[in-house]
Amino acid sequence: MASSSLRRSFLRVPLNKIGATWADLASAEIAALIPGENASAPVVLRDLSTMPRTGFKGADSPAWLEARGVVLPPAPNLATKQADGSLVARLAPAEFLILGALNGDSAATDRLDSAWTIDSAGFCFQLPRRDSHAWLHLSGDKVTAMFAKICGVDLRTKAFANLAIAQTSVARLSAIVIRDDLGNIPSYHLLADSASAIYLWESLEDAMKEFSGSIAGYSSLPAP
Amino acid sequence: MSGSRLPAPWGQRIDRGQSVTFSFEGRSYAGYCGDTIASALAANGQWVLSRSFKYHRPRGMISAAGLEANTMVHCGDEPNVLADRHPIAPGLVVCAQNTFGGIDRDYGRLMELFTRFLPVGFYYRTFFTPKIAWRFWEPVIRKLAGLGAVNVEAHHGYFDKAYLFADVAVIGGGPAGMAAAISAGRSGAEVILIDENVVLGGALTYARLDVTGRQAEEERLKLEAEIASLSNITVLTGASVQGWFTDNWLPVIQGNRLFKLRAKAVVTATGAAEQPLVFRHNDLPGIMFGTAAQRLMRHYAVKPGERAVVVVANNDGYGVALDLLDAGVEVAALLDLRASPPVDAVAAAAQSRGVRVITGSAVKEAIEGRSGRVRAVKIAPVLGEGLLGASSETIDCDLVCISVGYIPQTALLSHADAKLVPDPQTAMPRIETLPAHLFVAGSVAGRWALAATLADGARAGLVAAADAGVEGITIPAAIPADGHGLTWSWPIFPHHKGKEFVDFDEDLQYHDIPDAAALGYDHIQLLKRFSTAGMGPTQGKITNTLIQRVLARATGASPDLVGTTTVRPPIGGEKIGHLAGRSFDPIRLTAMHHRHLQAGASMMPAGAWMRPAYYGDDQAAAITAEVAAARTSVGLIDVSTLGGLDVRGPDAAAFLERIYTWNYANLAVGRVRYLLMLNEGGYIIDDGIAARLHEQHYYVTATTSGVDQVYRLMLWFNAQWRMKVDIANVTAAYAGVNLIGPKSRDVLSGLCTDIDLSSEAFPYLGIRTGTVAGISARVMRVGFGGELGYEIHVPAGQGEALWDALTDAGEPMGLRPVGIEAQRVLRLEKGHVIIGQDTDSLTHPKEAGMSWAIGRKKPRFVGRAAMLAMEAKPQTRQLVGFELADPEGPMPKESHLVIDDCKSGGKEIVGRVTSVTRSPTLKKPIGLAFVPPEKAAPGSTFQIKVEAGRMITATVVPIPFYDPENRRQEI
Amino acid sequence: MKIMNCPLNGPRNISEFAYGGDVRPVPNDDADPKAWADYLYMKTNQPGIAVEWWIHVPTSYWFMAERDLRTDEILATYPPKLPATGATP
Repeated sequence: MASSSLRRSFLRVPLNKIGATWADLASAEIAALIPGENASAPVVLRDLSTMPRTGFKGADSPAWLEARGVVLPPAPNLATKQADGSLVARLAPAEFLILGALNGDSAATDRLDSAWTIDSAGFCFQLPRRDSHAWLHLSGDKVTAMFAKICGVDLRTKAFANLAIAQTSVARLSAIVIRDDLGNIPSYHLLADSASAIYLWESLEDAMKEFSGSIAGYSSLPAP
Repeated sequence: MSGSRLPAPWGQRIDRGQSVTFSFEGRSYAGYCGDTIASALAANGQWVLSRSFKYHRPRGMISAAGLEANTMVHCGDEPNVLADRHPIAPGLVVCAQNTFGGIDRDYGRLMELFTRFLPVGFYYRTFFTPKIAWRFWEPVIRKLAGLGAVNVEAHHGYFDKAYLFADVAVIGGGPAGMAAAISAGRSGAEVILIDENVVLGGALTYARLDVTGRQAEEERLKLEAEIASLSNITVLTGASVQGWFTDNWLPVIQGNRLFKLRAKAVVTATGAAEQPLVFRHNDLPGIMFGTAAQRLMRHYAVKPGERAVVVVANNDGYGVALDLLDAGVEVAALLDLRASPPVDAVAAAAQSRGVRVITGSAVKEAIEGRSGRVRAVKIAPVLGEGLLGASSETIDCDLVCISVGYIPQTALLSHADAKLVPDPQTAMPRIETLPAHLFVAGSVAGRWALAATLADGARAGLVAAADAGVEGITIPAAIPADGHGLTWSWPIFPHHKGKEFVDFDEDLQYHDIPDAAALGYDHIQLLKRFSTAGMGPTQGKITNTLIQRVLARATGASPDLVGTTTVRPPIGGEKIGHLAGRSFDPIRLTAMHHRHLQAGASMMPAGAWMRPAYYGDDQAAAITAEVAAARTSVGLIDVSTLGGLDVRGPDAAAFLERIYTWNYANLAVGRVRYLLMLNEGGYIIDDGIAARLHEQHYYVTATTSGVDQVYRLMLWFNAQWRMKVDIANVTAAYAGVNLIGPKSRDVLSGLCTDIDLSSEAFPYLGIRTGTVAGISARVMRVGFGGELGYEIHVPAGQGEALWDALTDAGEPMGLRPVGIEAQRVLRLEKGHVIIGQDTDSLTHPKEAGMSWAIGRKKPRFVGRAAMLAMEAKPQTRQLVGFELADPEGPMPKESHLVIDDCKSGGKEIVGRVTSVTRSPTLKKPIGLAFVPPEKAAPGSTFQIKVEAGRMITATVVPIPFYDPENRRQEI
Repeated sequence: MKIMNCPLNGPRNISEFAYGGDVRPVPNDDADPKAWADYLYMKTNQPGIAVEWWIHVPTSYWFMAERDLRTDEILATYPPKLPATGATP
């Protein structure tokens, strides 16, 4: 696959080191299986970096998104699940991050991306969120205990509601943390500087070691 | 000597079923699991743990609670371990510190013979004159007055940090703290209860509160069960709170982890320590607090002695006597400093069991036995404050228990700027004010009797919970303070022969304090520095109040006027590992990082990024080959670390006009122009290019290290200007390469079919969007190397694929990857300035020869006013290009000085070299330098002082050095 | 460590923020050089209530804070209010 022009994960090298099996998903490679993965470990770490996502900001972006049927969170630092499975995170009054559905369906983000042009959208600007940020997924009963080692914001489930957002510092990197439980399993999206993805990955591996954390592939995500 | 263990139930903390063997000073000892080093040694009859700091006197436990440096030992790789807190473990190797010839026969004790030649402050007084003396004495003193030695070979441990969050943090797990945790927990607050001991209970684990001696443990069990039943209370034992910082931020050390605890409200229930009694030889092993003897018995079943003298100034000491009797220790006498002490049930019980009580008397002097331990005491009547009569009797004993009062542990409150004043009524500090969200309970707050302590704790827990936001709490009435009569206000009996210690860590005797005051060091802060009182490892926890009182008497001031020294964190020792462990230093890697490694690159840091310096093992050869590739065939440079900003919106052009110095409104779509940014002071802070992709969209680059500042400044300015523009930092979103060299068009044309690459359709300083190797790309004809070239920016997720495609396509044409070192040569050959290297923080554009990038007709841009003001003044320096005549001669380095050999005897510094290289293309040394304006014309010469002080002559030449007509980059 | 209340993100450790200087009126572009020199280099440094620029670094969000320089207490934070007046030197 080395000659392919498909999008590659920022974490391809560390994932290759642990023997990841790659699959094509939404015009990108994704680590589908990891040997020895334990999807029910107290902390499960997955790389979703190549999954579809996009972003829009600017004063007209709420209206532009609403006009396209997007249900907006009522206030900054809240996220809203869409009927198509995508997740809309409101980062500021007029700034939105849209994570594609966890099944890899890019329809929701493709629809918005292809609708946007600088000439037609008013004061609403598209952001290259799929490349600016790595997207990691953390789930399990001990995820918040692990977060307490790398993040100064109280992310425990009693203090940080489902679909809440914290834009803060994680392992000294600026990061976006979104709680999005998988059923009753505490689960968090962690987005941070894509160029620092390997650093962040290694920090997480270290932090989750004491909780018997496991790195798992995309395929082990429970069906939505 | 006592070497026996007491039977159960003495010894709550030891497991007699688990024997543990360890060594001390090379000898093997057996203890039990749960023992501390000190308790296990005491159980084996080894009471001397260390030698004192200055006089090398034998020392042992005073508090059995880690409050004095006497118990510091070397433990494995670790110096300065408190033996009365550190548990034993199988195979643990423990050594004494600060001894010469071992703990038992320390030749350093000879120091004591010279006591009168070692006056207070003797370092300053003796060894600094003449100055040379210190050079001789320093190593001697450092060896004599040392603590533990650091083992630089010690293996690394894993230390880390974690955050903790609580509504209410309760510090101290004694009765008050437990009661506070329970009441706060019952109210629904989330509580963290922290105690430094291995079990909760504080004084309830060792003190005797009643005649039967059972009340304390019964009460403790009740509280413990209640805490266990409340799931919203988290208990951290074996954990020490090291300080209080603003907004209830508490560093808590537990094992190898440093917790950073943030609590909405804090209850400080840190209790109290006992105060020492000052008399001659009050430092001998075997002289300890009453509570220390109780801890040894109750916690570790260590019989503290065979024959005891108990010295008391409160009725708690009678409980100590009862405990000693129960443990089979003979109580030879109980000396009560009070002339007519009140008799309560415990005191009555002690008397009825035959304890000889001698009121109104104290110890005048302790006598050292052969092992270093106390062997007898001389007693004398108390005649007045600090005044004893003639010695009336000598009593043989191997144990002296001191119970003459308490020192509330207020350090955390001091960190929080609480106001504490000495209270003459109780001879203890009273808390006058506390900061918001910080509360106190128990003996630290002046509530002593168990009932008062529990009620005060329960109340404080409710107050804290309400403060933390729990609603519907009714706060009960305040509990009256009851500290009267517990603490003897003047526990200090000077002796004409001295050796009555007021600071054990620093070996200070009583007279050292008035002596220092007499020398003029009569302010508590001066006294501390001069005498080192309170500067030892335990920071005077049990002795600072003694110093305060002695100084007050010496200066005739009251203790509250004398004040205290500033109490600062940390409260206890902490390891470098706790501070340094598991630090976080983000490293940024480009999408092509692993391709560089595969190509044999030496990576170097550039800000947070890693960039390839050169490819291959031979640096010089690699740089030459990389430059040659760029000049003659084609090179590939990873420029992903360059900052990228999308500036969009109706005011995008106007915004750039205002931020940058040049003109951008008239830049055509599809064109690129250089950018220069000044700060408000008119100095150059960054540069880059603006590429106009749309009427309302500029793609702006910034330097690798400058982009974060540029982005932040743009947002800051627009927070004020409110222009209709959006700024997005897309640095990490784009990977970029610079394809440079005469064959770059040939390489690119094989991969890019949707952009017309001809010079006419896509000239120099143009930008096009299209696809390269199937990847959507922004392609610009720019570069700093002065050759035909293309800068190609693609989504970061496809950067590696782009690199692969270009490398494959370029291989037949001799494409080489080009690292930073070669880039620096390429740009210098073209005379391009690197902001931050060829400019400093006080360089304005004219000095840097960049006036061409100033829009002189613009009414405003950031830094314009200051820049014009500076330009109106006489110019002091000019950045010029230079070359050296001798291609093989000595080379200047960056920051070598430009010297005017006609001024100041040939020593006047008039400038400096900012960049220099031996140009492989031009075959001569070239560089940039700041020189005086009068030497800036081409053809002028100036002198550079190079290594070994040699002067070389440089000649000013016009830049660019290479291809001055700029033909090659525009083909 | 202090807590600062970010108008966008709520209370956070102050390590998430960076200081951006006093809020002060900026001279006109054609103002006298002395006015610019005062603005750039003359800081009053007097005890009292300062109005300051602060940025929440993870979100690059600029806002204003009022701080008591005697006690270091942060009295209020709010989105930028314009025109910037703040404390005058």
